[in-house]
Amino acid sequence: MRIWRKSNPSDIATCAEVMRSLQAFLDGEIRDELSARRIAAHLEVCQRCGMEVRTFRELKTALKAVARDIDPATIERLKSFARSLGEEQALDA
Amino acid sequence: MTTRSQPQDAERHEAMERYVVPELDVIYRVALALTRNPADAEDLVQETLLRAYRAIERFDGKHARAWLLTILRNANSNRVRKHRLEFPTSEAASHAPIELADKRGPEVVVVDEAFDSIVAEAFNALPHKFRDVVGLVDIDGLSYAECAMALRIPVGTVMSRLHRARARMKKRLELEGTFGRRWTNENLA
Repeated sequence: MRIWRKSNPSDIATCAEVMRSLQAFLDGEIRDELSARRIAAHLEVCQRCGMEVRTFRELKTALKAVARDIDPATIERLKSFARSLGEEQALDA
Repeated sequence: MTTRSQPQDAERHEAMERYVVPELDVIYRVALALTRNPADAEDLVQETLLRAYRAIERFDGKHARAWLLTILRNANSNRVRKHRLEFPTSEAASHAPIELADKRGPEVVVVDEAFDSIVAEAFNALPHKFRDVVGLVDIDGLSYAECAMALRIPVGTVMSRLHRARARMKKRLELEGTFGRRWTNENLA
């Protein structure tokens, strides 16, 4: 089912609105609670948009499993460096 | 010799511990995205830390990550300018290919590994400007505003690049016939 027109604008978003806001919705970047609720309401009834969301969510989940090759020792070195700054400053003074 | 007994130093030290140290992982990830090289990223974060330390008395304690990203971005601009002066004809180092993290649970089976590999390939095939945005938002977990700040681009550009990058990846995965396999697998389990 496609939803072209709003029966009650405060209840449910249209397909076009959902497509415009889909990425932000998936990323939790829709700050307006009403808009987020209207999109969620739409996704419950629109199979086409629901499928689109599921596809992008799947992609996003897979990307989370991808990691940059970060050596934990580097982070520890940087922490030590940050903690040593006060001491170095004092010695330089 | 001056000792560290001055209250000013103690306060700075405490502020660094409270506001800066917890953000180091994210800051390093952003530096890695900006420099595309682990050694340069580490140097850049060290420079950022030095600048943060000098400025920490003026920091109001709100939005530490955003504050550090601004410092990082400025430090990176200096680094790039200096690099251009020293090596006017050199090309920027290429992106190191990302690797799959070995943090998947036991419920994930071979099909998922194949899916994740294809996603990683699709990610690596993106042009740099798209890869940077997807990397910072999806892999490193930055918000749109933080990503925009780090890359010095408007939030609207972050959104449009994300949209286009994900559409490209989706298309590639659809061509591979990959979508739905993870979902099916989870539901069969």
